[in-house]
Amino acid sequence: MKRLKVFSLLMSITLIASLLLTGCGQPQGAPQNTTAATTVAQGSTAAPAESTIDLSQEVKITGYLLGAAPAGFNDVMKALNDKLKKDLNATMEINYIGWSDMQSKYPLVLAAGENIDWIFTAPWSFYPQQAAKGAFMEITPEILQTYMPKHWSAIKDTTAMQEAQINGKVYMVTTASPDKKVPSFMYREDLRVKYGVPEIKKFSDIEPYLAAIKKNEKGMIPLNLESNYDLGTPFGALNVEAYDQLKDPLMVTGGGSGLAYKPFDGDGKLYYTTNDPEIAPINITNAKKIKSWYDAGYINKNAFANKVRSKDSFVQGKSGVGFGNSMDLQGNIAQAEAAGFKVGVVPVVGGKSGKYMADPYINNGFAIAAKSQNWQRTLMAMDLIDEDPTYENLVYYGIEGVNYVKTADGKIGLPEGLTADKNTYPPDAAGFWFTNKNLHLPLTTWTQSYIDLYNRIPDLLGVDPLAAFSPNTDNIKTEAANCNQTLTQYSNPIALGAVKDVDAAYKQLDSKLKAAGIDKIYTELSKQISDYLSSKK
Amino acid sequence: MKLSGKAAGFFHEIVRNKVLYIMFLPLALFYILFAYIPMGGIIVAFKDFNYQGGILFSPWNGFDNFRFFFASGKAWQVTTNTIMYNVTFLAVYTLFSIMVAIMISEMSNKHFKKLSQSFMFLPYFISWVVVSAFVYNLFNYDYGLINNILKTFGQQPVDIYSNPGYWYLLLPVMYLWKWVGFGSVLYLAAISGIDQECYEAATIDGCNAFQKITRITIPLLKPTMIMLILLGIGRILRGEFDMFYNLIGNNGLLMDATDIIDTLVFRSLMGTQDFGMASAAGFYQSVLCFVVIMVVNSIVRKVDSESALF
Amino acid sequence: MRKAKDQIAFAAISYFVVGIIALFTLFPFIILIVNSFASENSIINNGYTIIPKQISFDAYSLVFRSPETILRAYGVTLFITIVGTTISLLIASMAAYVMYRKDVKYRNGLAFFIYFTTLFNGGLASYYIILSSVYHLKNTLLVLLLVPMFSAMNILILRNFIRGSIPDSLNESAKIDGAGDFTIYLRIILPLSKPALASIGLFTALGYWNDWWTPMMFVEKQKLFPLQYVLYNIISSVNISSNVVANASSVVLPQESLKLALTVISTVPILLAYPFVQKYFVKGITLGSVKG
Repeated sequence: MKRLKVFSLLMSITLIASLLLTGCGQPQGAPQNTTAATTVAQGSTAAPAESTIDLSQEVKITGYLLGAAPAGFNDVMKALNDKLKKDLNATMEINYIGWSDMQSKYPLVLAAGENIDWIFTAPWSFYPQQAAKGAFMEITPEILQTYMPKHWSAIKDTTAMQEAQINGKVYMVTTASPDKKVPSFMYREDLRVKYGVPEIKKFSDIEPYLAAIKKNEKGMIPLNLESNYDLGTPFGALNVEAYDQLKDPLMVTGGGSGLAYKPFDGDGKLYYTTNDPEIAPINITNAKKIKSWYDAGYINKNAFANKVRSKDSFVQGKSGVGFGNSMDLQGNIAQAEAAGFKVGVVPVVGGKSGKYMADPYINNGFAIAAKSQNWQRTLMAMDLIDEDPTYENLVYYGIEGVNYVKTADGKIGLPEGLTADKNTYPPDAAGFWFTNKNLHLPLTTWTQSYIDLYNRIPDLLGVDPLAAFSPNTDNIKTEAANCNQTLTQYSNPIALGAVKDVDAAYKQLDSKLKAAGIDKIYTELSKQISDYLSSKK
Repeated sequence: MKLSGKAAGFFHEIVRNKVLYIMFLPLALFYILFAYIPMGGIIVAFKDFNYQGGILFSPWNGFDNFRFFFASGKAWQVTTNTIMYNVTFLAVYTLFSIMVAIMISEMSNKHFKKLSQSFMFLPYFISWVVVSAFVYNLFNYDYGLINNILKTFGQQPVDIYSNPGYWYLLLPVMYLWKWVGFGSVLYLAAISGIDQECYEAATIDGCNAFQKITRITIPLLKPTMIMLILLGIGRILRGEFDMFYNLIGNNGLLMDATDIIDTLVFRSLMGTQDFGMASAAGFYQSVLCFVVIMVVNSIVRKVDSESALF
Repeated sequence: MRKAKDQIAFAAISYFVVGIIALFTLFPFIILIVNSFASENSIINNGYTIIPKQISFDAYSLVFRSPETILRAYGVTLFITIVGTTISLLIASMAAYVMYRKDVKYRNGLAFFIYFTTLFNGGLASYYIILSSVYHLKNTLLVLLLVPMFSAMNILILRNFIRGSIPDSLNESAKIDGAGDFTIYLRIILPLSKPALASIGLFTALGYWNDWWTPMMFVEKQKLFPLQYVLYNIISSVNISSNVVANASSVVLPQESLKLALTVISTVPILLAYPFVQKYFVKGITLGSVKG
């Protein structure tokens, strides 16, 4: 058809034009890295690093954090920039990437590369994927020594740099203070006593409590689970306590690969969770137990559609148990106690080791964009933000006197007349989670039960030698995608107890995973893991 | 140099209607800048995208990015689901929109007309996030409103979240609820364009109300109806992602019945952030939509050339 | 005049059917409004109820905590909606007219040119990179105006409306009277297309009003945030605050009620404007001009 011919000619022209244009739009990543290398070479030969750094040019730094700007953000930024201008002749502008847009916007912001110096990153915030794609600048110990001396001294004797390695190079600046937290659950101590239920020391003890709640508290669902975080948590907790923690190397909430290794064994051997002779029977037993709870009405039938987390409905008296971790439960504990409930909190740790994996150093951090023009000044500014208390308090707690005050006994509290819900800059809300928390003071609002838990935690933490291992999925991306969606579809109902026949469901899951290519992932990742471990020796 | 016949015809046409083609120019410019130039990015579907290379220089990887979709074992299932749901939605939407539009246009009570029209528009503003919370409140097994009522009357509660069957009815109803306001406005506007004199002539000839509708309104609505149906068919492979994602979420019990291409792709790529694979899935949908609409449009064009889309 | 029996029967059916549908669409919205004034505790405890157990203005006071931001956002949204819709209607109706004219040889090619863009697209990455790095449209009012401006579907619908309501003879008689193409468009087509322009204009305006995707992708400067995006951010930051580690609030922040309040806030202005547009959907226009 004539029309189609003319049309296809026009199309080809515009296609070519578009390719050329996008080519123009793509800055080169490689030259940046050589610049960094040459600057470092110069920097390391100069003895006192600061005196050779030229601050005469005013510089504007652009950074990206996750979440959304709290209400008081503009005032805090103004104060921050006043300080930065004085100390470093620089100003900073921070933009936010919303949680719901992370999937789409995070990679785009880096791909376009416009105006970006630093960005928050972590393994759960696409660090391995983006580093592998060349989005970040390489960070060497020399660079840190020169431009982030305070931070360097805080991390140089830790495993931080090692954990951050991707293919032998480091691409992010980790936090100096990884979060010390353990998954935990809370229950109603007042009700436990009231109905004569024996003490609850671990999650596997919980069944009598659930039965008592079901029988006596009509308005409360013993396990009122939400569709995302809570769904697999009871099942997971039973498994962890039964043998020990298992970690999926391709972990995604509600998905993954179906393979796992045992962090505390240290050898990185991979197991098939669906048919391994040691692990699978335990999983199946626990799945049957969960199913019995589901059938007995201890679990809400439609958890898949419930968007209210158990720890929030716990506070309302609608759930007998609330799940979270030892840190984020803190607010809920305070709320529950304010409502007159007595709350018991129990950390969930491995049955054999008595421990849980510690968060790695890379769990919070930031990276320098490969195309950043002002990475030196950026690093220097971040050094102050990370390690200088006056900066830290500012970005973390807000403006002294307005958002927080320091009490006589060395704690952080709210100023007279301000209640927590009216605080325009709540702690942690701004997204600066990589600052050195070891320098933080305790909050006045921490309840005793929270403090007790907080103090117990360090003893419960163990180190996972593979904590910072990031798998390279280039050769298995098809299989990874398919195993992920297979698990989401078939394993979640098992974890909830909503399947008709647990044995049959496991067989089905197993065969579907095989069809999705789990064997190929097993071979590929086993090799990567053993290479990783031997390289660390 | 003498221009060949075809080129000469082309220029002759442009010159003859130059005012009209100039009037079309602003729109054409917009589409070139914002649609055709970015369209080059479609090659990402065949590349192993990395930032150093960008769109132009990332290495080619043939059909690798397409593999995950076809190896999932669900490609056929989600494709048929997508088509089936879209066809149902289109049919129900068209039927009810026309019916409501005709009824409203015949009404004499102005207040009723205006009010009912405004009310029907409200669902457009309610996001699927909020709708899913509503549905949960209504239907959840343990304390949903509907189940409370059923229990009061001694009936068994329904568990819609564990049984896919309900959704074959629920989804079209909800789709209709959301869009009937929109659809009826479109057909109402078309009805408003019908010359009143036709109706007056019909009354003189002794037609009753029903006959006026079947003999005048509906035939004159045919072009609009065909066009809207064609437009709907052109999107037959693209699912209503928001709706399915918020209502079904990661409910594995319902997925075989309610998974569409868009939700499957989203779930599969959640961990990987791979532009190439996402682009490949989009390409698959585009190609199928293209084939379908080209075929259907040419059939329509043979029957009645003025009703075709292009 | 005596109403014929069939007319009464038809009217009865109409009022009944349309009434049911209208109620079906209205009822959830009422529940929504009512529960936006319910306290968060009440919603978690009792779900959505017809009469909230506990009334609270928390959700609204949270939104309007910094009224300047909201007012500014309303301003931005109003501007882009009015300006964007006007420009869009003008350019789109011109193009629709061109495609409607039977003497335009390539009119189907033009229609295909537009329609093709709904079939294939280059993906998000390419779109984003080109608009931000090549056209430098980030953080401009222009990007908020341009991205949602045209929908191929709307333009083709406009073309069809014009076909359905304006007979060719009108064009010919105007040409005989010596009018140029543009004049015909301006003096004849536009005035006679009021229902079409009203409905497509409504859809375009709604598109602008509800657009949060464009600012999410392309705008980072707070002063350019339109209404939907500001509301979207409020809910995100509340979601974070509730899950935040060190937040020791013993007061439960409104989350569920907040979602509802946000819907109400963004819908009410449009609802107030809708009746004004409705009058264009009046049945029938008499094309007396064709005769004679």
